[in-house]
Amino acid sequence: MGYGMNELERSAGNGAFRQHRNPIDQRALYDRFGALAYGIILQILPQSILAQKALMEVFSADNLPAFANSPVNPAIAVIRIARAKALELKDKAKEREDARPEPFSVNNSYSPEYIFDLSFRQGYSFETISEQSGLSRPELVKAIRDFIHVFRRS
Amino acid sequence: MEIRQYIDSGVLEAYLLGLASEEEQHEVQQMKVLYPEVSSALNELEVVIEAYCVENSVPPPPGTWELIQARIPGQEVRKREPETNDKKDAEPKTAKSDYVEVEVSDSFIRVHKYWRVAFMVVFILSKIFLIAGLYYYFKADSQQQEIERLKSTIQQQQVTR
Repeated sequence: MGYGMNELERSAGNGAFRQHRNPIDQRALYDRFGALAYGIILQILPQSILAQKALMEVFSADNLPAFANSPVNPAIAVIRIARAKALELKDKAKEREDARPEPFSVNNSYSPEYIFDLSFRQGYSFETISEQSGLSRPELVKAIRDFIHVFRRS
Repeated sequence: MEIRQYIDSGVLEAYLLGLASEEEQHEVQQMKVLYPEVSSALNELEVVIEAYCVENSVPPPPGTWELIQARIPGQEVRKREPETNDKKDAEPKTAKSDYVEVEVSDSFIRVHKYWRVAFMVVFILSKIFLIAGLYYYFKADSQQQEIERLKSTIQQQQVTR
């Protein structure tokens, strides 16, 4: 296990997984980022059974190449894949319930946190948010930055 | 566009969170290679975003890894490879089994897909036998009643003679 963990440590190379695609790395990846991924998934998909299914798909063998070939560090790759899987399962669940995608309701002003919630957690594209909010794409992207930097300062 | 302005635009955050368009992704990757300031800003943001996600992390339900492990190809029951003559000479024979024992602690079992057909056939046959059984039961019952009726008719006729 220790060997696997060392492989995961942040390094300038950012490609620690590229040469090691075996179950040991998969376990190390899960041990280090499982809670992180599950936290992201639960923000998007609060149903625990579906969330666990999404988590299993994130760390399935099929996704190892995606981690290995990612241009960003493993944590960021996990965040992206966890979000994508959670949104995918959320969409499938909605399809099964025959629910049509509804336009989001505005219950407050378009704060950076609300825009982050709409785009990252709820999966709305910047185009959709832009259409409904009247804000331009650069303004929305800037709002994401502002949200991250509010967290950074806190 | 000035590099500082580009970094402050928010496109790097969107890129790292997987919110950027394909065009923006390519642009960020090119800018990262061309400008060390962009590369440095990305590294800093990776730390911030990771910290944000770590702060919101939740321990996965117990047993999740075992379920993932069960899906890993080659981690389940594997058939033992046929031993070569050299190996037979080198190692004494120990186990005769064709399968390697692997500990599995999840609550699921796996069955071959042909069992589905077998279960369906058994289910359909059981329904057929149930219907046939009920049919013959009621038929026999009505025949019994008919016999009783005929007997009583004959007795009545004998009495009247």
